[in-house]
Amino acid sequence: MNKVKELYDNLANIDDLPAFPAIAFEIIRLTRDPNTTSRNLEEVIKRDPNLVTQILKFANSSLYGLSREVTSLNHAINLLGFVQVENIVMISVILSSVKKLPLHKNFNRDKFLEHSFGCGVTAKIISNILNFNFSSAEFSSGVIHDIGKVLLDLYAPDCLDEILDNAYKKGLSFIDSEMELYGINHCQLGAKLLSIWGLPEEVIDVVENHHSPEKANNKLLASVVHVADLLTYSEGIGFGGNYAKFTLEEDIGWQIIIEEAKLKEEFDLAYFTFKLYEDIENAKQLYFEGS
Amino acid sequence: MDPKTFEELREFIYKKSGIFFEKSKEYLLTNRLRKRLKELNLSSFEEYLRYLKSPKGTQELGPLFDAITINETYFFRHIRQIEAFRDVMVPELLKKKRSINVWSAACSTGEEPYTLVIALMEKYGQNIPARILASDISNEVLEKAKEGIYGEYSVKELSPDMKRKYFDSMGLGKYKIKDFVKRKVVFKNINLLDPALARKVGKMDVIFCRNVLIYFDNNARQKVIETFYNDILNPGGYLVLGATESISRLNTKFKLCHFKMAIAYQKPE
Repeated sequence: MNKVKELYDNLANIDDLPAFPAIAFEIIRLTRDPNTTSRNLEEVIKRDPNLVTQILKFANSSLYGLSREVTSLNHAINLLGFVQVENIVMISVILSSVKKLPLHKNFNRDKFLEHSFGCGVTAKIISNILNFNFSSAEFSSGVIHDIGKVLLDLYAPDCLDEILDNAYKKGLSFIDSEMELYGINHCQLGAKLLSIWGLPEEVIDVVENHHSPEKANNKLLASVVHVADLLTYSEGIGFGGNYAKFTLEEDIGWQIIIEEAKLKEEFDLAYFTFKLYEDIENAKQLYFEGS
Repeated sequence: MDPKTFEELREFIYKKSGIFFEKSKEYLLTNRLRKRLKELNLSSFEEYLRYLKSPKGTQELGPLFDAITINETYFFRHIRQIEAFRDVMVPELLKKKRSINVWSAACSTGEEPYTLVIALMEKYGQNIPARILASDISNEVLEKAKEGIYGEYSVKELSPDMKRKYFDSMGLGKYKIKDFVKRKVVFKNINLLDPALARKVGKMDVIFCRNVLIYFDNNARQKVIETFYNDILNPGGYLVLGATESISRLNTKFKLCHFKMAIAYQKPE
């Protein structure tokens, strides 16, 4: 058996598997309990100043288009809604746990985080432009879509090297390279980790199918993240460079979006792209250059 | 201008011209149009928009387009497009042939064709695998392009290193493009609406035609694009328009390709 397959099969038994922080569990439990008030939620979130900052940052970002400045946590929770708060909490804890991991030399943590975050933001921007409503699930799934790569780096770094080498030598994408060498890919690894963590099915579905949105239960959501992933590579944030050029119209995820959202009639791809680039530029200034 | 009016105005501009007007330039648009509002005796941008959309509005397109075209040109303008050209299009085209033909179709004072040469020299050395044709309709700008002397503004995006490498400093903030760059570009006076356009230009692999089509009416645009596609571009060749310009509203067989934060149109193989 190869090392990646072994890792996949034994994932649940690994002792030092990255943990999902207890506070996040508590928040997810609260946001899903109909009896929870915003005050209850505020009490828990307040224990982590980092989370408070993140939530305020989101409430004030152009992504949510709120016109007044939001300074109180309670106000932010009410404006964003419980579902969005849950998503923000989820991505914040994942980002910060990746930040704490001892990463291998070939793994550029900053670029990885930038790509992850960029993908989430881009997914959100796409659904804003196209008027989809996923209650920010596109955002959190976008951010954690590549979490499987972190597992490779932690528990099979030599395999990660081989995957990258092989991809580079043969001009393959990361996923084609890992399938060729090991028959298991980062989508499967990531999905398994998230189910061990007990995250919502919806998010696991997207992570598992972000390279094959046609197989997802929620095809539209998986397609949005898939396209955001493509665009985030092309945008130059994150390692990879697999997609220095692509034809969106020929992409399966894009076709699903066009089909499911009934955009076929007179949809102007160039106009959409210009809007998207404009918003990505703004978001970059807000999140990357500003911090 | 309130956001809704701005959004409507830019959709109108896009439909009529193919230019996507960026939010970051809203202040420019507002400033320039304020003068028009006064001349037309209109009191708000909403009224101006209604006027544009009315039957009489067609005569207002000229002044409106003048207000949105910002004729600035400098070396390495819209770097993402230049990068897509250098890092993706050119290597891809060179897989099939040893040298390619590139046309800067409205080269003005020469910043664009020289930029293309410099970008390729940075990658391939002085012996670049491309021939560059640069054309414009004005002899005056072509003379300036051939002279190749530029002010600080034109070279603002270049590092001191790049300036030294490709320019001779003439003092007083003037820079002269070096001969080994200049020699790579052939300048010609060409009118894009000339019926003999294809014969004058020949076959090309990449066409840069940035922010030019806006000056033509719809029929003329359609004709130019058809000539590019049918008679000038080789299969697999690229058409690069302005960074926020599209030909979506025209009827073409071009395929829209995405690069790093840039798009271009490709003639399928």
